Amino acid sequence: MTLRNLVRLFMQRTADFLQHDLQLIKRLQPVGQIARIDEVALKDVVAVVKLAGGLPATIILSFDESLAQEIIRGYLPDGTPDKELDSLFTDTMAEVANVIVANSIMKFPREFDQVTVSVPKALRQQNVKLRNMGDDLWTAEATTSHGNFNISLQV
Amino acid sequence: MASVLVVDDSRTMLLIMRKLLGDLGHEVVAEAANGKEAILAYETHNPDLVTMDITMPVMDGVTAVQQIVKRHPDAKIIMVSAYGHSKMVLKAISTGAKHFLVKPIIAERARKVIDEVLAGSASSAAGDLDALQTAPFSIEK
Repeated sequence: MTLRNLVRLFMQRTADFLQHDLQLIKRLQPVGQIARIDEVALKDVVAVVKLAGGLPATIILSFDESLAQEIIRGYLPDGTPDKELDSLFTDTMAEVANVIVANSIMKFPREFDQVTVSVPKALRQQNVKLRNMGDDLWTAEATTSHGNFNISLQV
Repeated sequence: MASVLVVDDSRTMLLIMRKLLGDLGHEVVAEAANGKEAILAYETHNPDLVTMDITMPVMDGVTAVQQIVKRHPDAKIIMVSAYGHSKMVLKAISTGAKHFLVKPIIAERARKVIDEVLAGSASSAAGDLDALQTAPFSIEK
């Protein structure tokens, strides 16, 4: 599998998560191509998952605030008070990143046996750019009715 | 109604499981954020059922299952993890887990698994194995 296809796999699982698991959107549109780049502008809410071992890489999922808010509402049980939604914001986005990355990796379990995965971290931020600090930085972006998101893979 | 111990280091998952189990008519009698806490909570509450995350700080879920089952061979434990890959499933089975659920949790699937485990009809930790897919993989640049 190429790195481009790996990014595509994460993108497909994210789309499936938003469309079918959360039933949040009916469709999404890619913004440009999956590309190897030197720098990417991250969105308002960022979740980072580090992989080591057989697949040493960092996966960065970033979402517009509006889309992240909808994801939180969709993932947490109906009736969760606004105060609790807010207090669980980063914890839930980290959990969502964990699910997306893990479900994607499940598609190649033989190799995953040798991969260790960090506890995902999520944070809110603004105007941060991710620069290529390794051999390769690949990214893909998509737009939805609730906002955009992008997925980057640093190897 | 069953008494349930929910073990997960994610506050989000604790909330989701509490709501799910409540909707299914069960009572969450204790929550734990890691395997060590889970062992203590099991001794204190002796729950009918445990839902156990795998990847947690301090002590992982598989180790906790080993220790709980060692003292309580009839413990009914369902592993819950986003990483439903075969190696972890097999490890969970070998340590005594009765079943396995892959995140994100789907209520209907969870209900079926919980009912089977509580009824003692879960013959193996097949759980969400049907959700697993395998494919060859290697990195090319």
